[in-house]
Amino acid sequence: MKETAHLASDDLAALAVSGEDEPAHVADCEQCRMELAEFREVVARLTALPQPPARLLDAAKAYYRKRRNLDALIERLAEDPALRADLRADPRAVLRRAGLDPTPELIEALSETERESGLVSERIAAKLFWG
Amino acid sequence: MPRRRGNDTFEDVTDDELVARALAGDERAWDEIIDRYTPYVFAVVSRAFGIGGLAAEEVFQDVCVRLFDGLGGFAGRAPFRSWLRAVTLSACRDYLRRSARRVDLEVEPVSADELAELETALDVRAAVFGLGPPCRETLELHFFADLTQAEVAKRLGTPPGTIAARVSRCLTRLRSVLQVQPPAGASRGSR
Repeated sequence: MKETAHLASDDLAALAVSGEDEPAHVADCEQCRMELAEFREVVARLTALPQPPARLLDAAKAYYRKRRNLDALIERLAEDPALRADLRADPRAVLRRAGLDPTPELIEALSETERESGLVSERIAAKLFWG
Repeated sequence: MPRRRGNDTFEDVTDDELVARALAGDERAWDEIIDRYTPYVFAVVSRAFGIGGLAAEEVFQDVCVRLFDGLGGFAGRAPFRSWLRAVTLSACRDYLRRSARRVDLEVEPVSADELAELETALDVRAAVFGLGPPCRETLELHFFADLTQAEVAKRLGTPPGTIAARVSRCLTRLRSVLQVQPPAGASRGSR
């Protein structure tokens, strides 16, 4: 077998990233072939978790703020009779002031806070996701 | 993608610290949790359980809701990743049971191997974050955000040749950190 210099690790890494054909030396050199296979394995693992749709990420991030706003509002409603009166009179305005979109589902669910002390925010949590 | 906001960076912040900060009302800590783990969660849903399209988004939503509701109770009693994995698997199983209208249905991932591979991929992402700049941002942009090397160069204001060399150099570092074994087909003696 003709003796040629081994490829440098960085060159083998570049080969794994580019997906180009292997130089003739690699086919004949067990050491380089093994190292290239390891780099290809690293690249495969790096690309194994593709990025989900950006809108999904954005919605997941926005959920935290909406949910905290909702939980804070429900807590205040439980403690503040004047706020409850405001909610009955103009639910849209109360929700907007709380930083929430006044969707019909949210208005309907919040109206239940006067009838139930239960987990309103958790029941409407999924509706907040894309709202 | 490098997650820098003003002078803040969360890349060196542990999961437990992120949870504590999110519970204390730090929206950016929640964002970091989402950035860090959404690819894994989505891959478990869509690949390990084979749930696709809008259904995958529905399950992902459910995971986020459970994550928010469970953060307070989680409180670092187990590694965050283990807890998140349990939450994700549970959301997938519940969805498939609901779809089949059978609460007693035994649901398992399509492939246990696939699940293990996703765990390994998550380890690799963690190792990338541990490399520090500039490797971290370069590999993140190229492999996770799927930008070409030319796009990475433009984003970082660096010559394309520098990025190509950096990717190779950083992969060499990453390989030594991970101590990757070559796949069986490339084992010694396979010539």
